[in-house]
Parts: sequence; C-alpha cells; structure tokens
Amino acid sequence: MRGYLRAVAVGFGWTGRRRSAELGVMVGLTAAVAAAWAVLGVIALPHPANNPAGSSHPMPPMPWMPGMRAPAAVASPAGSMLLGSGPVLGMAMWALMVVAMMLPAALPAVRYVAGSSLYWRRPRAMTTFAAAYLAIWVAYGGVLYAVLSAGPPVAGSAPFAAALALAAGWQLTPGKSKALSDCHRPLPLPQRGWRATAGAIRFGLWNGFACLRSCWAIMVAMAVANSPAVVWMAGFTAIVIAERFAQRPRRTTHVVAALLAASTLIVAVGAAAA
Amino acid sequence: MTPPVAPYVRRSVWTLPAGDTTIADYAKAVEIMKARKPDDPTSWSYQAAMHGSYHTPARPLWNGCEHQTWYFVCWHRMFLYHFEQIVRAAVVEAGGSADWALPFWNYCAGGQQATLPVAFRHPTSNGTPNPLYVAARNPQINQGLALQPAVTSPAHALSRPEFTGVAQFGGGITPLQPFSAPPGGNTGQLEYTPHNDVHGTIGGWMGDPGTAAADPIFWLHHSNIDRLWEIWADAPHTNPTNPAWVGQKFSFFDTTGQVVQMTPADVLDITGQLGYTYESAPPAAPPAPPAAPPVVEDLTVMPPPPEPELVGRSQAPVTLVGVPASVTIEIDAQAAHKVQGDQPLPSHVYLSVEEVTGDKNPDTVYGIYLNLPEGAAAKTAGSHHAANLSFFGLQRAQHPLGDEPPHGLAVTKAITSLVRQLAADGEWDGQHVTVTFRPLGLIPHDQPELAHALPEQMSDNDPPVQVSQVSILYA
Repeated sequence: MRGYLRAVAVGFGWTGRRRSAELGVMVGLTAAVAAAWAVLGVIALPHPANNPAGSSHPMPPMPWMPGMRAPAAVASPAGSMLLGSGPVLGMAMWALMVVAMMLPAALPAVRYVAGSSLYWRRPRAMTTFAAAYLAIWVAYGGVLYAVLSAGPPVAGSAPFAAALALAAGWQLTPGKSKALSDCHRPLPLPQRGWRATAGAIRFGLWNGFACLRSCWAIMVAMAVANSPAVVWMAGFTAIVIAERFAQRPRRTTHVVAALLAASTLIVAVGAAAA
Repeated sequence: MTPPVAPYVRRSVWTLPAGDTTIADYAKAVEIMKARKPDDPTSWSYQAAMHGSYHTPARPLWNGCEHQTWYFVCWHRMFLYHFEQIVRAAVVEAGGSADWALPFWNYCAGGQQATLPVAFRHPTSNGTPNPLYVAARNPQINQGLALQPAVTSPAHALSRPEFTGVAQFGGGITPLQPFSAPPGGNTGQLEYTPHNDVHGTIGGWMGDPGTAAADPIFWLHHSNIDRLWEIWADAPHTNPTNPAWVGQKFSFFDTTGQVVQMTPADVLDITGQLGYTYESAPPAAPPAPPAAPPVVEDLTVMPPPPEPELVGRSQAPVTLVGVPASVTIEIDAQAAHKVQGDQPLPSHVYLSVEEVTGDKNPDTVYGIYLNLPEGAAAKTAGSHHAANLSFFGLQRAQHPLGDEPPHGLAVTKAITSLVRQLAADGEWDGQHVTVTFRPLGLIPHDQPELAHALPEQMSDNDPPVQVSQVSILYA
C-alpha cells in the first residue's frame, strides 16, 4: 500500500524530483482539478432547503450570486448535470466534471511529457497534451448529450442502475483490458517545431481516447446520475485513479467490477423500495 | 540460518579440472528432473515455468521472474539457490557428488570461454540424447562461435557506483510508475550487459523469459550474473537498504516441494547465509586488445549525478529489421547551455533508447554507435561503440504473463567517456549526433579482430522492432 501511495504521489507530482518549469504547470493543473471539485461540490451538494428526491422544487438563491436564482437543473441536486439544463450549461457542467474526474488520471502522463520535452518547451508541451486529452472527454460529452437528448427523457433511478450494470460488465471485457493497457503507453514526442506540437496533441488524443475506452461506461452513469451526484463522482474518481495506478491491473478491474455490480444492486433495490 | 561449515563452491565451467564430474552430474540431474511429472515443483518444466511459461493455466509460483526492476539480481539469486538444491538432490539420487554446486559460464573471460561449453552443443552424447542440448538456439552458438566482448563485458556495469538511480548497477526503484519519465528505465546496467545481451545472442528459448529457463545453459549464465553481483558488492559497493527492497518477500519451492519464503535481506551474504561461494575468477585466456578503449565511466562520481536533462531527440521512429539503421539527433543549443554553461562538454552524457516494441524477439543484438561513418570497418566501429540493444522480454513487456502493466523496452546508458573521446578526436561537434544500430554477430573465438564487424550473413527479414525515440541527455 505504501508503494502504491508513493506511486500516486510521484505520478501527481507531489513528490520526487521535478524538472524546471514542470512544477508551475503541475500546480496549475492540480488547482484546476481542485477548483472543478469546489464548484461542482457547491452546486451539487444537497441543500437543506432542497428536496433531494426531485427537481421540481424552486431553487434557493445561488450562494455566490445573492439574489439570483440558479437555473433549475444546474443547481438541482436531482437531475442529470449534463442533460438537465440545455446544451450550453450542460456541456459546461460536463467539462467541469471531466476536469475533476479525469484530469487526475492524466497527471502521470503530463509528467512524462515534461520529462520528454526540452525544458523551454515544457509548459507548452504539458498544456497542449492536457488540452488534447480533455478535448476527447468534452467531445464525448457532446456525443452523450446528443444521443441521450434524442431518446426518451432520462428520469428516475433506472437509467442510472442500468448504466452501472453496463459499467460493471465492461470491466470484464478484453476491450477494457486493452484500453487500460493503452493508458500506460507513450507515443513518440519529437523534439521541436510543428512535429513537437503535433506529437503532444497526438499523444494527448491517444491517451484521452484510451482513457475514454476504459471509462466510457461509468461516464454514461455520470451523465444520467441523479442526486447526490457528487458522491458518485468521488467514488468513480477513486476508481479511475485506482485503476490508473494499479500494479496488478487485472485484479483491480475485477474488484471494481464487483463494486459496480454491488452499486447496481443497491441503486436498483433503493429504487424498488421507493 | 546457520552458516554451513564448508561452503559449496561454484566453479567456472570452462576451467573445471580434467576428470571433473560437475557437468556429467548436471546432465544426469536434468534428465531425472525432466522425467518428473509436470505438476511436481521439482521437475524441470516446473522450475523453468517459475521463471516464465506460456502454458495456461499457470500453476502456483509460475511467471515470477523479476526483470526491469531493482529485484532482478536478488530474485534470481534466490531462484538459483533453490534450483541448485533441487539439482543437488537429484545428483545425489543418481549417485553423483554430494557437494555438487552450480557452475558458472564465465564468457567475460573471452576467447574460447566466450563460446558455449562443449557439453551443451550436441544433440547426442555417447550415442544417447544429450539433456543439455537445445535445438532452439542460434545455430552458430551450437556450432561453437563466440559471443563478442561488447556483449559479454561486465566492465561498465561493474563501474557503476550506485545500485539504484539513472543508469546505475541494479535498476531503478520499483514499483513501475505508469509512465516512468525518461530516462526512467528501471533496468540496471548488469541486466542489460551482459545479461540481456547474452540471452539475446543465444536466442531461441534463451531469447524469451517465457522459455529461457528451460535451456540448461540458462542456469550457468545466471550463476555468472550472480557472481558479477557478488564482485560488484565486494568492490565494495552498497546494496539497497530501503525496506521496500530488503523486506520484499518472494516464494520458491524447496527440495521437498514445500513453499519457502525469502527476502533480499536473507541473501546478501552468500557464504554466511546461503552456504556457497564462487571460486576466484580463473586467469582469462589472453583477450585480443579491444578495438576501442573500454567505455568505463568515472568512478569518482559522488554524490550521484543530478537529474539528466533532455537536450536532443530523434524526430521520427526507426524500425530495425536486421541491417544497419541510423537516426540523427539535433542537440538543442539552449538546453545544452542550461546544463553545461560555458564548459565545452557536460559532466555527464546519457544515451536513451526508448519505447522499443515488436511482436517477436528477432534474436539479433545490435551495437549502438555514435557518429559512425557509414560502412565503417570493425576497428572504427569499436571506437564509436556506445551501448547495445537486445530484446530479451520484448513480447512479454507488451503482453505480460502475470498481472502487471505493459510497457516497452528501454535502454539508458552513461556515455560520458565515449563522448569525451570522440570530442578529443574531433568527432563530436555538440550539435548533431548520428546514432547507428548495427547487428553484433557471433565471431570465431580466435578472430577477435572481427568484433564489431558487420556480420557476413545479414538479411532484412528480421521480425521488425520499432524504436520509438532515441534521446541524448546531459547532467
């Protein structure tokens, strides 16, 4: 366990020797993750005046904008963050969510990009990679928005339970293993010029796509999740990080499959009881 | 553990006295172990599978070998220790010597000793099948051609002052990080050369960790690697004291098939704790003068050098198919100046060959040369030789048999002395570096002048191996 935590600490850039110009970008990206969590936490945590069971109640004033009322589904702890408030706000929420949930898993690759770049290109290469990686996830949000908006309204716990079951099943497929393997593989990073920029973009897209193939199903769950989504977000993020740093990836994905299956049952039973 | 009174002595296979039965006893024991049931942990196939096996499902303690980690030397010491006891019991069972000890193959001595010991070369022995023979080797090995000094020399590994760290003796601290930032290879210099290079040159079963230990020469090769660790530690150098290293538990089978556990702390004193020793290295056959001054790095580097800084990188991957190939690296003046200031040369130079991938080990070992004129003769090549690239574990790195993350192979080596020599000869301008890969073939043991020569039979039919990038780093 200690070795595992050390690997996480090194991968996130908290410890270990850092190269010049690396620290600033790592601090910036970590701050972005923290800020995304803070905003989502404020928005999504149940408010005492709010009814966690439904989204039809009037919203309390948004705390950072006295006197203003939040758009219902944005501030609502119940209702999908992606689907509940129109494409612009929905995609903004989604972008915050992928920064909070998926950027931490990319930090080891960002450090790799730092070590693989000339020192004066380092900040540019790191941010280019991170932007390409996040672009994949944002684009996926757009696809989910289009697909889920076109179908019947997402309501109640059934879609969420179904997505959890889907995620549990995906864990056991060869596609999942291959995706998680690919998350560990670097691409060539040429030294400078347009090739260097193209290399960082290509690696960011490749790594983001590998991460997407690994985690697409739990993000479907996030897209249809109801309140309190921030708790699920935290749990899923822990899963993503655990898998990303697993020294024994096969065992880890199987443990996660069991956790997701158990969650499916709990949600389904909860829905039936309600 | 009680230190044995008279330690078993592991001796050099090429200089055993006339009439010695060590190898004959080994052959009988191998035969006995091969006749045991495959599920018997003391059988030949089971012991080999503990290193690696492609058979599924895996049985207990299979696929345990530690490569590209700082446990490489200690895991193999434990593995050999238990194997040696199992063989000794079989030797005794066959009526052989009760003080039998595993010999070592000291190919480092050069000359004839760099050829495969005769007892391993022929399919039959006295009209019966030879249990020490394996057909799945490079045919030239079984024909008695010699490994090149570039492949067998432990000089660079033994010159490393530290056990862990960039391009040091024993490997980087594991667990493997997802994306070890280059030059983050976790492989120690002893593991590269001679270990990997000898595996790769023998080829066949020996070229793949999933089959290597089924070749009886594997154990004599690793006996020599273990001896070289002992020589390095006696120099003296310091083995890791990190609890994550000394306390790591590994499991093996004893002679009765019972599981026993060991940690590196249990195997640091081979005589006191394990009851064996190595005979002093016998006088080597006079080696031919090497074509180049041996690339031995500074022994005075204390404390360890700072984190290397990338100064140059190939712009495109290179694919190796069995014939020479080159890449050119442009050294970035700004990055170089940051490290070396106004000095003409940096204090440390590293070569890093990264993310080496392929579906199959081509059983070709490449020499890596800096600024080598095209088609250069053997002698010129020797004076530009920087490192080797071999592919032991190529498939397994990408498709791990055990439950571990996949990775490509990588080589990182300090090349400071070579760069200084090239600079002194006017062959290093600090702006462009050409890195050339040339196959290192086997040579007749009495023609050492052929070292580094291009092999006569070269074809571009090798299973391709891709080298993602080649980097130069300064510190």
